[in-house]
Amino acid sequence: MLCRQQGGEGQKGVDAGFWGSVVFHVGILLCFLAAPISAKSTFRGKFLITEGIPLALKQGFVHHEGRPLETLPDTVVLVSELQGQYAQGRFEYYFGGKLWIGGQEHPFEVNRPVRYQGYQLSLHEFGHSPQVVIRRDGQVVFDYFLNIRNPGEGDYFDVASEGLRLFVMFFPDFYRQGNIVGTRSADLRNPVLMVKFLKDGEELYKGLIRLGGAEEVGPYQVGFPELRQWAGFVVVKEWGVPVLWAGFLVGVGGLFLRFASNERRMEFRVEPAPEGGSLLELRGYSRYYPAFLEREVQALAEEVLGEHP
Amino acid sequence: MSTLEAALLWAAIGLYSLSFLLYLGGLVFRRGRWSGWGFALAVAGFALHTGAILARWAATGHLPVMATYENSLAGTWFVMLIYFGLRRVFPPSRPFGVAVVPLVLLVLGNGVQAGAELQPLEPPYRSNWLYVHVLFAWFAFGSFVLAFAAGLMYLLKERGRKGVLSRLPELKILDELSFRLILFGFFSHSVMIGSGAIWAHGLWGRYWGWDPVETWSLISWLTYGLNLHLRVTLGWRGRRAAWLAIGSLFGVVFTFFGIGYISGLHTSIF
Repeated sequence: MLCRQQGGEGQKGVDAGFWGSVVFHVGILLCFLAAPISAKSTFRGKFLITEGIPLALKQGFVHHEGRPLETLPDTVVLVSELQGQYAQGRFEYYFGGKLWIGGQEHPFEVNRPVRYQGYQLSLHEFGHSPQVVIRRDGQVVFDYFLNIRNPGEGDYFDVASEGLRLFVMFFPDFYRQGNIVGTRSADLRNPVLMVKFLKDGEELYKGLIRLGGAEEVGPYQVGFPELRQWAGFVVVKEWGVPVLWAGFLVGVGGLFLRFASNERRMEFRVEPAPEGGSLLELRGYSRYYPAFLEREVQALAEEVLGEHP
Repeated sequence: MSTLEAALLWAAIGLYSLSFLLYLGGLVFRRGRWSGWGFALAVAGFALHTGAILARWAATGHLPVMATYENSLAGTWFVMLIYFGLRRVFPPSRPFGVAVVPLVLLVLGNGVQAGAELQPLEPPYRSNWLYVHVLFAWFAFGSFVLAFAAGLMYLLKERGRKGVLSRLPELKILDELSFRLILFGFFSHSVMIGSGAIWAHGLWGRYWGWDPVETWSLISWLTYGLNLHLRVTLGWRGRRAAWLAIGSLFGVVFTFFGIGYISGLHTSIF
């Protein structure tokens, strides 16, 4: 507080509102800058991988955008110990496992991506992968692990050598009531596979096969010897994220400065009153909150009057 | 919901309802003591509301952050907390109870009718960013709701400076309070969006996906940013600023309902 002989002035609060605003807008600009940097530098793709089956990283993508696939490292990936857990048989609870990449094992789960050579691999999808073996006259015509991506609606696969389409639906906890089949829960209590052979959209044969069993379906014998899991990963590499981080921190810092700033000034003058005693004049200035300051000035005046009536 | 949670919640709703009636009665019939009782019942309701949240937390093993009911339960708790904090720091905001308590009742009612099934925390929510994101989301939404209440009171008081409405806080105080709440809400909203973007990048491999909740959240943020610029740069005050504070809440309402009803991305897949 500065005091002259008959008065003085005092200031309270941080006078940084303007600079807080400037810093905030710089942060916003950095966030905007992150978008074109991301767009220019991004590799983004998605691959699906079945448990226990090695996959050359460059060959497994079902979708990618941005930089070409050739820029990816030459490496093989493998997933193991995949686990999907449901609470009360229906609520998603835990999904994770281990990913081998570049000769190293990385545990992963939802919200815990794997990082490798600047690439981030986030678990994005998860499902069952039943092995289906189809024989005709004792000869194997189809033997694959089928990644079930639409458990509610069923998935279609080509049986190329027979010119047929195979419709597959998987029930982890199978039940049957009359002609109605379904699953009681998402838990693997009674895994059953439903298959239908289709030609030109028309159903030819259908059957139900339990895990570890085989059934005659029309002229085919369909086996379901093993059940694994599959995982889908989103692979991303981009340089916009650190810029976004920086923009976020700078912007929030600027806003905090702006919010914390409540510069206000008070002036007082004391002079002899004509009728004796002293006359106290109080003045306040606040750029943004004059009504709040008015209350502060009034409270101060009441305090002074209380001490010096 | 569990029996204990249901008992606590319905008791809290009952007390909030009585509190609202007393606040309203105190204002209409000029009975200061009734408003005091209204406040006491609101505090008691808040204690039971806290108990309901703790009971749910114990039953599910996680903070109430999923789906419409849990967001309503936690969101209204934050609105009440901010109201209590505000009236302690700034006593002229005491009559806000007459606007805040019914808003809390409306949001809680909507949450209860949406279904309150006990569920474990889904995998996407298991992240430390959740706490930053959700905490600041509720600070932002709570501040914006109170700024809305301040704007509403401003317009009511301006229309009738005599009678019941004269007991509301001064116009200039309501105006500045609304500005301060919007500034704090904007800061919290910014932290919410930033932390959500960083969280989303680890979870989905992208920091922005234009899903309805993200889009409405951005619209709200831009609306309140415009709100602040109009106030600070162009000097909007008084009635225009009050209408701004009221109108700006619509984006927040869409975002809030979007979390439970519109967006799959924010609720179900990982």
